[in-house]
Order: sequence, then C-alpha cells, then structure tokens
Amino acid sequence: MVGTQAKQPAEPEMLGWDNRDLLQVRDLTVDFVTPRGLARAVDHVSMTVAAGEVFGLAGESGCGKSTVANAIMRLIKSPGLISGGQLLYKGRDIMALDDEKLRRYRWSEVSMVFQSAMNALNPVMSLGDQLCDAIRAHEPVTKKQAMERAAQLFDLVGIASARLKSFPHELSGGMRQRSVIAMALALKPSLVIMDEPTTALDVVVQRDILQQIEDLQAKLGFSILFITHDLSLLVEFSTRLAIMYAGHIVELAPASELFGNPKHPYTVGLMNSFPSIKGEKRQLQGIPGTLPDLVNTPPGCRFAPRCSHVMGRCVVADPLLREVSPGHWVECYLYDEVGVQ
Amino acid sequence: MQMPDETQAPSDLVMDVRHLCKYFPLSGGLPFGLGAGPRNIHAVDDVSFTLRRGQIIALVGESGSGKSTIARVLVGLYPATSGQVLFHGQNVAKLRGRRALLKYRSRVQMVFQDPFGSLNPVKTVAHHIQRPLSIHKRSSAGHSSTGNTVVELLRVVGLTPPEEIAKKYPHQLSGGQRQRVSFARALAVNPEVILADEPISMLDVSIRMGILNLMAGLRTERNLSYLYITHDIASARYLADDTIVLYAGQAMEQSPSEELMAKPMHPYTQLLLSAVPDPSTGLAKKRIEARGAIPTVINPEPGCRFANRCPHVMPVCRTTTPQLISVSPGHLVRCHLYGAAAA
Repeated sequence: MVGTQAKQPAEPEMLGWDNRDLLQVRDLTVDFVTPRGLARAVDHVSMTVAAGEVFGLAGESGCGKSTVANAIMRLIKSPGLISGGQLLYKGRDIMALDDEKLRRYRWSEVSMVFQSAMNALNPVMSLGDQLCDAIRAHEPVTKKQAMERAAQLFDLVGIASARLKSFPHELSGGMRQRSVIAMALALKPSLVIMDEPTTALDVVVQRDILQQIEDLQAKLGFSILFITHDLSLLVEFSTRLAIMYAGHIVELAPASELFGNPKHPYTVGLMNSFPSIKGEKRQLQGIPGTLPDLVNTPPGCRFAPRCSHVMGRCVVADPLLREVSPGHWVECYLYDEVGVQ
Repeated sequence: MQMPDETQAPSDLVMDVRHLCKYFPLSGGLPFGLGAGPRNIHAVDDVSFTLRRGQIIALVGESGSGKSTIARVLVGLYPATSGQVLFHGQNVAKLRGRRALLKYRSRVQMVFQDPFGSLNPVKTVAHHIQRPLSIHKRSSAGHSSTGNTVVELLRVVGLTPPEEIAKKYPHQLSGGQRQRVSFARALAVNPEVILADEPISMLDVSIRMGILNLMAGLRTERNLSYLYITHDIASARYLADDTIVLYAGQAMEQSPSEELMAKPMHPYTQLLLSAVPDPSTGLAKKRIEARGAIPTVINPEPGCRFANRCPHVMPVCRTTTPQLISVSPGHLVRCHLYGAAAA
C-alpha cells in the first residue's frame, strides 16, 4: 500500500452503528493504478446507511463519490482496486460474496440508478423486454408474469403501461429516467443507490422526479444512497448527508444541521457557491483553486491549499473525522480542541 | 428591458433583435409536397430584445426552449427565418463578403458550454489565443508582441502564472481553467458583445462563481455586453440585469432580473422558480404540479404554448396566441391572465 498514513480510523461504535444499519462502510480505501503511481480515489471512508433513510453523498467531480457507489456494488474493475476497509450489508461482508451470491446481492438487495438513462438502457430492446430480463434473471417467473410485474412497475413510476413496447429513444429524458427507476425497483431492493439521477434533466422535470422518488420511498420503505454534486438539492431531499472532498468525508451531519451550521471550510465554501433566487443579493466567492492531484498527495489536509483558515499543522498531518456535536462529524483542525500531532 | 421603439441613446444600443424567428424544416412525410405541406419546427418564434453597452441579459429556459438557437442566429451560424438582428443599426443578415463578416465576428464573440470540446486537444493554450489574433489581424507587429498579448489576456482572465499556462495543453487544465481560456480567446479580438452559452453548467459548483465573477468584472472593466444563456435561473439573477424566460421558442416574460424573481407574473416563470432547489427555504418542502415537458412546436395552431401545463388555463388560451404586454415599466408578459392590464 502506498501512502499509508498514521491515521487512526474512527471506531465503528463511535459512529453509532447498530442493527438498524443496512449498509456499513468501514474505512473503505480505493486506489487506481495509473502510469504515475497509485491514485487514492477513496481514502478511509466510513459511513452507514440506516434502514429507510435517504443518505446524501455530495461532492464535486473527482471527489470519489461515484467510486464509493461502485465499490458498494462491487463494480470496481482494474485498474481500480479496493485496497482496504470493509463493506457490510445487513452485517454480511460484501467483499466475501462468491459469484452466485454476488449476482443475487446485486439488484435484488442493492440496485443502482445511473446518471445517464440513455446509456443505462439497451437501445435495441423494448423497455418491457429489458424489465422482464431483469426480473427473470432473478426470479423463476414466466415471461407473461414478468410482463405483468413490469406493467405494475411502470404504473408505480407514472408511465402508461403501453409504453412497455417503446424503445428508449422514443421517450423523453424524464420518462427514460423514470423507467430506469422502475427497473431499479423491480426486485424490491432494500437499498437503491442513485448516482446523479436527475443531473441531466431540466429543473422542472428534476423536481417532479424527486417528488416521485420521495413518494415511492415512503410507500415502499427502501433506503436511498443519493449521490450528487448539487448540495442545495441534497439538503432538501436527504435525512443525513456527507460531504466528500478528494477521497475524504470532510463533514457528515443531519441535513438540517449541515445546512444551518456548516463547519468545514469546504462545506461553507460550497454553501457560498449557490446563488439564491430569494433574499438579499450578495457577492458569492465560490472556492478559489482546484482539486489536488490524487497521485503523490502531499501530507496534511487535502483541502489546505484552497482553505482560507489554513494553519501550520494543516499541511503536516491529516486531521481526523471527529464528532463535534451529536451526529455532526467534521474532519478539520478548527474543531479539534484536543489537537493531534 | 427595453422595447425596440423606446428612446435610447443610439450609440448605447449595441444589438437590437426584432421579432426574430427561426424555423427548421422537417424532412419526411409524403414526397413531391403531397400531404399537409411543409412542416417546420418553430425553434424561435418572435423574440425581441435590445442589448445596450455594458448590459447583461440572461436567456433562461429549459432544453428545447430555443435559447441556444437564438445565440447561433446572432453570431450568424444560422440564418434567421424572419425578423432582424441589428448590430449598431446594421442588419446582420445583409453583411456580405469575408471582410464584413470578419469584422462583425470580431465584435461579437461566443463562449461555448463544453470546455473540453471547444478547445483543440493537440494545441497549446497560447495557440488558441493567437489564432483569433492572426485571423483578425489584431497583431500587425511581430511574434513577440503576440506573445505579450497572450500573457496579458491570460492574466486578465485570472490564469496565473500566465507564462506557464500559455505553454500547457487543454488536458493539463481543469474545467474552470479551460473555460477561462475560452474567455481569453473571446477577448483576444476585443469584442463588444460576448454570447456565453451555458458557460458554467459543466463546471464544478465551487468554481462556477469564479467564472461568473470574472464575467461581471470584465463587464465593469471593459464595458462588455453579454447575452448569458442558462438553464439556471438563480445564476441569471446573480449576473444579469435583465432576464428573458423562454418557453418553446417564445419569450414568456422579460423583465429586470430582480423584479422577475420577486414578482414572477407568468405561470411558467412561477413554475420554474418553484422548482429550483433552494436550501434556504428548502427544508419546508413545497410540491409542484407540472407534468409534461416543453413541446416540440411543429406548425403551431394559435394558442398559448404553455396552455397544456398551465394551472390557470382558460378557454382563450387554446384559441388565441397571447402577445407580450407590458405590465409595469420594462416588465413584459405573454399571458392572457394579464390581458386586462394591457394599456
């Protein structure tokens, strides 16, 4: 392992893990082999998704949020590798699943909605056939029974079942995304990972689909791991949320707490990057600078070069993720009374 | 927002767009013109606005609203079907000859959405900025002065150290840096107007404000005018003096930005604003009811294009196309709800 740090991972118990937790990510570390060396895309990330929760994971491109999702689905392929940590689903180790168990775990336990519905759907198969495929790959039902299920699923997401005969290109972007959501729900999973599900859509369609996801979640009770770069949307939509920067979770808190009382300078910077349509018009700065190189990362906090509160020790050693108030975790020396060498 | 007939110092008026229409003919149907006759997509239908020196106008709309088509007509990439684009009083469609077109294009520059697609991957940053200089013969002096201009432009757009950046290739830059190069390239010919087509939509959120602030700064320093095309109505409020809300090719509402956000009149503007995620009020969830999407308008019947989605729809909306009417100074709305208010 390259770039191992003298970093004490937070104890699982400290993060309040218990049996209600559906998914536990413990110290997940993912590296990518590049010609210049290992790029650490995810660095000791720990989080949990509780049953029935909408857990938001926010961050900019390259922060590792999609890599976390792919690791949970065990979709990390060469040149990427999971070089450390544990992934537990209902207490079972995902990394230890054999091929057959993995096949059943994917989609019937944890399913995924990808950003680009056009790429997630097969362009030369009708939507009905694609849904039936997914259902029949996992359950011993006849084509006719599967088609009935598919019609119910389309009904659930508000598409006329006559559309089952349609091909992806015949639908609007919003309808395609709805049918991908229908497909993700086909096998009644306990957890649905949504990776930027509404990013490519217009704002009105986005709002409509989010409302629908919320209704479905209330009705069916699945958990959602919702990944997006749009923090303002997550604050509205999720129960708890984590902010990722350069492979680290820098802040994790209940959504209302994070919005009302952001701690990490990066989170504060992100909050100051969204112009509002209401209230006093104020000058917004965004965050100067660019993302760090993930290969040969210098020691210390990865946000230090862009941080306006940078101190001497920030560039010496990594801060730890600490609980600053109940349920509110921050990885920053500003909130570190004890002090760590 | 000024109507074309309003009094305005002529030198102050840079662009005057009058009743601009752009239709795209559809192929297909029966051969030899049999059947229903020519079918046209009405991508832009009767859009009028004026752009003054130093003014920023935002064109806001969802995909398919016609906002990019307007920009492309303005720079002359598409001919207008009808209507006029006047640049300092001169009809852009009547420009003939390479010299006249070159001159116009050096006055009106465009910045595109995709900072990856709009730069040549095998050319350095310096090359991208030198090209417009040599094409438009801005640097009659030797190569060294071109080099100075490049460095100066890079400094203006906030790329430091400029000497280093000039030698880099696009893949060595981040998205935000690339978009700054696009602005430096546009500024190279010292334009009066920049048409910025979704310049921040593909950038990470933390660097978007940097680009908007750069645009605002250039406006102040150089008295530039912008047409800022966006789907993000909140950024329109942040940057633009005036905002035009487009729906299915028509301007539904145009107004000073602050007034538009504070007092949206058109039901579509109200819908658009209610759909914006807003963390400051977002925790109290508000639901919207607006199924459907922007229609593709092919040979439209008279009537309002938003009627099928409008919560306030009246019989007249389906039979008569509403006209833009003035509801208060500079605030225009295309909606029958305000018909009685038309003076």
